[in-house]
Amino acid sequence: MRMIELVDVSRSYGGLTKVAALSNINLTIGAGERVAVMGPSGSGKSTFLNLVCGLDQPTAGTILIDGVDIGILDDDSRTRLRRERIGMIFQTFNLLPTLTAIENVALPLRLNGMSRRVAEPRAVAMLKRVGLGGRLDHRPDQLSGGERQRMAIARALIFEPPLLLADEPTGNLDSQTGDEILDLLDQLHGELNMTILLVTHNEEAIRFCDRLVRLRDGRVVNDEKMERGR
Amino acid sequence: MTFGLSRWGEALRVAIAATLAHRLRSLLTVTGIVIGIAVVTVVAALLEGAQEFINKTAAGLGPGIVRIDKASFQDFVGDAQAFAEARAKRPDVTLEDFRGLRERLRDRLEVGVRLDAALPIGRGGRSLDGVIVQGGSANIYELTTVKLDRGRILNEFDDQYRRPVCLIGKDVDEYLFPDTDSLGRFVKMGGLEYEVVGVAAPLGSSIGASQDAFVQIPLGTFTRIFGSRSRSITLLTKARADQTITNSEVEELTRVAMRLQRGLQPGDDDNFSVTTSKSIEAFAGRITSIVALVLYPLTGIALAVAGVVVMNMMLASVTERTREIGVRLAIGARRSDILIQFLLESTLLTLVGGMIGVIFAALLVMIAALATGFSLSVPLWALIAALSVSSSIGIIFGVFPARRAARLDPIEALRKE
Ligand SMILES: Nc1ncnc2c1ncn2[C@@H]1O[C@H](COP(=O)(O)OP(=O)(O)OP(=O)(O)O)[C@@H](O)[C@H]1O
Ligand SMILES: [Mg+2]
Repeated sequence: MRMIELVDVSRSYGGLTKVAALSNINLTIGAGERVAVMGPSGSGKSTFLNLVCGLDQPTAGTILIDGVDIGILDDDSRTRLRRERIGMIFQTFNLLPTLTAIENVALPLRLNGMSRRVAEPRAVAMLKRVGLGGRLDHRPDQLSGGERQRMAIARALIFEPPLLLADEPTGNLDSQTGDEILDLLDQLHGELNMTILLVTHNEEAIRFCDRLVRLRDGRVVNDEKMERGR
Repeated sequence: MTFGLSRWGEALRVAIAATLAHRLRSLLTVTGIVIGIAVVTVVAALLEGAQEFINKTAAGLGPGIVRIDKASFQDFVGDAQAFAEARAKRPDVTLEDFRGLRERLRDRLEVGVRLDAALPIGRGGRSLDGVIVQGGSANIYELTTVKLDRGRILNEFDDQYRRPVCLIGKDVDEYLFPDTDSLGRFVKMGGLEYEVVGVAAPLGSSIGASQDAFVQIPLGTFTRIFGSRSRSITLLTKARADQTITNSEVEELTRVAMRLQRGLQPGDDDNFSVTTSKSIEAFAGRITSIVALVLYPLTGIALAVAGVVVMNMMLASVTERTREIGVRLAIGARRSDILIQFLLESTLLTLVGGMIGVIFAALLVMIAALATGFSLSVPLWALIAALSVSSSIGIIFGVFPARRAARLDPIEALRKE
């Protein structure tokens, strides 16, 4: 089962001097795989994730998610795919500061047209799953970094999507909190078996993956299977 | 694409939260809307009140009745100088005019006359100022809206023999005869006693001034005391009961007869004013449209400026919340969700501004009503117009900022700190 398929994908930025953020990427990632994406700053890791979730479009090549060419989808369909089938977490959490934990986590459901009465109990259940059962009505700025990332994970997984994209999720956390987040992702992967793309600089994080893709200057320079929990 | 109810609900919740998060800023932003809406609403209420008052006056004249006097203000809208000049230079309407007109029109129209004077009136120890003493021809009851409550009206014989009898208004009746029936008793004016033979039914009040403070005496009696000099003299005509003549024919007959009476040549202007209930209503309409023509465009400009202020605030808000917009787009908000959210926010803002404006206006109008005695209120149409205009401003001036928000590049937006 192929979850993600990139065929000759390039993304360059315009202007007189063209910058190639990614060039000629060919990559296939199976369902349930956990792939660590590493590489120096500017090597194209974030660009890669943005293309996979459909926030960005390649300048050349084709991207298939679950067999669907996302390049031919219209904006609303792509948005819907991202909302329901792809979870995203970020280094800076990207929570809405004015909303409580419940409201933040329920937001994707609400955007899908679900009433609060239905959406909020689901959000509560997901918050309990990530260990935030005691922080339901707190706003992000009332929580620690680790707790914020848990909230973001709950939001990313509220639809139980088959694909989770994580852009340096432990980048803003101390190593112990970072490990706790990785343990949580490990546990949730055991329950949901989603495909995970994990962009990281953290050597610890690699331990949690079963495949490592290295990028440099927008190209894949290394792609190897690994023994999980080495 | 359809827009589910809960998506609207969510967008509204976000809009309310955003507005409440910056209460003071929101309030300052809509100040222009508040003032603009308050001003138009107050003016609309005043115009409506004025129109109602003028129409009431017109009703006092009665349909089919034509009035002739020296100079009527309705003939001189917007030209106070010409009005003053006419009052100074035109010949007074006289009893001679009355007799001449009655003679000329005798077969076709009923012609009456009414003279007014002000005189204190008393009975025993009591005395009442500001009472209008009217001398009227015996047919005056067919030509005015005064109705009899009890007793009798003044008749030809009273006039012919200049009898000291009178018909009194309700105010005079109540003040001078608080606990006795006035019929058959006497009131005193200018040292003479008059027997009360009739009491008029109440006419009510306009502009808070009672219309029931009058005493009517026969024309002959009036001229014996005051001579033919009078504060004002008014001729009234209408079709005789045995004639079938249209209202405009009555007006034309009266005008022509009066011109003959005055010896005017074909090219000359009238040197008197002819008024009908229709012309009073037309006058009211003219005043209303003049005010509206000046005021509404001015308010329109003021509201457009207020709208630009709202737009400016919304643009600032979009910039401030760029990151929030980026997050929403990233986790699966449609561009239409963002558009609706910001559009709702600007509309909510201006609608609340409009509501505050209407409340202000209602308070002002209430105060004005209490202070002047006019019956004034904010008409329903003005309320609805105010609220729809203010929310339209929010929509119109919110579109540009909302589109800008909806078109943000989520990747750029997320990068922003
Ligand atoms: N909007 C843009 N315009 C021009 N160049 C861009 C733009 N976005 C990214 N790039 C360039 O594309 C390349 C890849 O950027 P990307 O953000 O994917 O790197 P990254 O691997 O995520 O780096 P980091 O580890 O610092 O996050 C960089 O050289 C960057 O300068
Ligand atoms: Mg990056």
